Amino acid sequence: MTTIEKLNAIFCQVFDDDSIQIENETTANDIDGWDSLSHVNLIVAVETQFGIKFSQKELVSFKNVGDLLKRIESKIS
Amino acid sequence: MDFGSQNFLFFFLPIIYFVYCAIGIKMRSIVLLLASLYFYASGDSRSILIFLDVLILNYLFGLLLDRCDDPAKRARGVAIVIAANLAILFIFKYLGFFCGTLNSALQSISLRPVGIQQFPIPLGLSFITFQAIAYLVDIYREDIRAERNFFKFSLAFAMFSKITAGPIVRMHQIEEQIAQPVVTLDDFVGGAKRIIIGLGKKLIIADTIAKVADQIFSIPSFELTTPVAWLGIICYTLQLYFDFSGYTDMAIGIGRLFGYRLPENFDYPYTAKSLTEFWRRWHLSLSTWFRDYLYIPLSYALMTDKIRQKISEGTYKTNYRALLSIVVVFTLCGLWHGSNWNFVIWGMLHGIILALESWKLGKIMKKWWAPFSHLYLLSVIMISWVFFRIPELGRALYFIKALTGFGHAGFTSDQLRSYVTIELLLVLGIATIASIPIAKGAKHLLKIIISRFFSEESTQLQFIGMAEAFMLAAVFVASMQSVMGTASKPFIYAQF
Repeated sequence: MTTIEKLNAIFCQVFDDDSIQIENETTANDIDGWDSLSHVNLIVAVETQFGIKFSQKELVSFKNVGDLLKRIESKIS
Repeated sequence: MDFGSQNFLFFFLPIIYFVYCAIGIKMRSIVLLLASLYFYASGDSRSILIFLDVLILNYLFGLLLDRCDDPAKRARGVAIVIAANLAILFIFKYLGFFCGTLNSALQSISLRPVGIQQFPIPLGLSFITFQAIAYLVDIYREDIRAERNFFKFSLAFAMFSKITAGPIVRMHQIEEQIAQPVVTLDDFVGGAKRIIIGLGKKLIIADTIAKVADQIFSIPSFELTTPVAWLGIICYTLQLYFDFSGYTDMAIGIGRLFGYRLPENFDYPYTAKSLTEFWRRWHLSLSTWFRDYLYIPLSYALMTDKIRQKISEGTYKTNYRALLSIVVVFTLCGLWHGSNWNFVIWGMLHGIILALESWKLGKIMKKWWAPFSHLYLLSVIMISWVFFRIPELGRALYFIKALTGFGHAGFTSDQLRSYVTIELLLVLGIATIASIPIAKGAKHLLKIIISRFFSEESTQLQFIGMAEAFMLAAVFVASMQSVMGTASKPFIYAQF
């Protein structure tokens, strides 16, 4: 399973929608229910499932899925 | 000095602007800083020293924080300076409220009340404190470096166009413009247009509607009929938006004149279909501040290992701690607006409804018919504005009773006639239309009409430009009549 596939599965689980197909350019506007509240759920789920930890700065810095993916990859490599 | 006053529009602004443009780029920041300090002192001469103290405190600690490499010391340092900023805000804004509440508690158990020394709140302190916290946290998160030049640092906080009531600017949004204060003809034209729009919103719309809103909100509770209460809250809803967004248009427009691009604060909030969407459109610089510096760090900190595990397994579908954080954050957002219980109730009410929307209501609302969602949002907003407008809880609840038809005075619409004039209906009509993003559509329609008469695009554009100039001139002339006449009402958000 590639990183984006694993991330996609987390998105589907957090937003309770199996039809979600994320891409690098996907932003909060494209996904139903991705607001400040679910953002925390998403980040925590990503952290636990990838076994990584984001800094305070990173928490609010992701502009799109590509950004998030880059950070995850740099942390797991 | 108010943006809508003769002194500001005919003396201060043109003189400073002339000097600013005439001198070299290197001196511009200093001129703008001195002008801003003069503007501040003319509005609140007693507080200028407090304002300077706050600036020096944050300037020095910003530098110290930037130099320190030890993560533990950095965390401690940033916490101490944030606490110092909040302590200053507390002393000036909340001490009276706190002692008042404490005294009522003490009296109820027959103890002697505490003596209170009530200080006047310095101009713009709530906005300055929030900007300072954002500055310090951004340095702590290594998003920005501390500004070394004290004049440039001070200008980022003191700039007169935003000192009274925001927008709350973050350092990275303004530092480049302070370093390179270039003025272009485009900026001048864009800025002047925006100032005229802001003047029109404030002087023609907000101040006219305010007269009726003020009258209705001063009616004794038992005389308030349902139709009059609705007229009152509709007027206040529109007054608040046009007052604050008019002020913001002027702040952004004045900034633009001087070559600064201040962040937008509004995006047609009353067109929202949920309270969640409303807060993505209303007072953006404040709502994003609460999101980035309070809500996300707070709710993230509340995620214990046990909850993290549940979230990752998908067994923690409703994040109760994050929902609670929303209520806490919005209650504090209410308190930020003023040191009184009515603002706390207003904030908490918004927090609870936002939490409900995030929990289950939001999903149900998606199935609603769009006009019904609008109606829901407008009802929530208008009813909650009652707490925003009336400081006394009993009177506010009575006003809501009258709105829902349970007031003593009943439904009779006889009294309505004494408030509804042609002028009011006209202004309410304009205000309603101006609350929706109609300008683009109107421009497009105008283009279609003009294209029937003229085939060349350059001629079409000329006509549209002329129509726009004519409209702005009309707004300007009407606003000037107000400026020359009675003194305009102070901006509502300047008191926060």
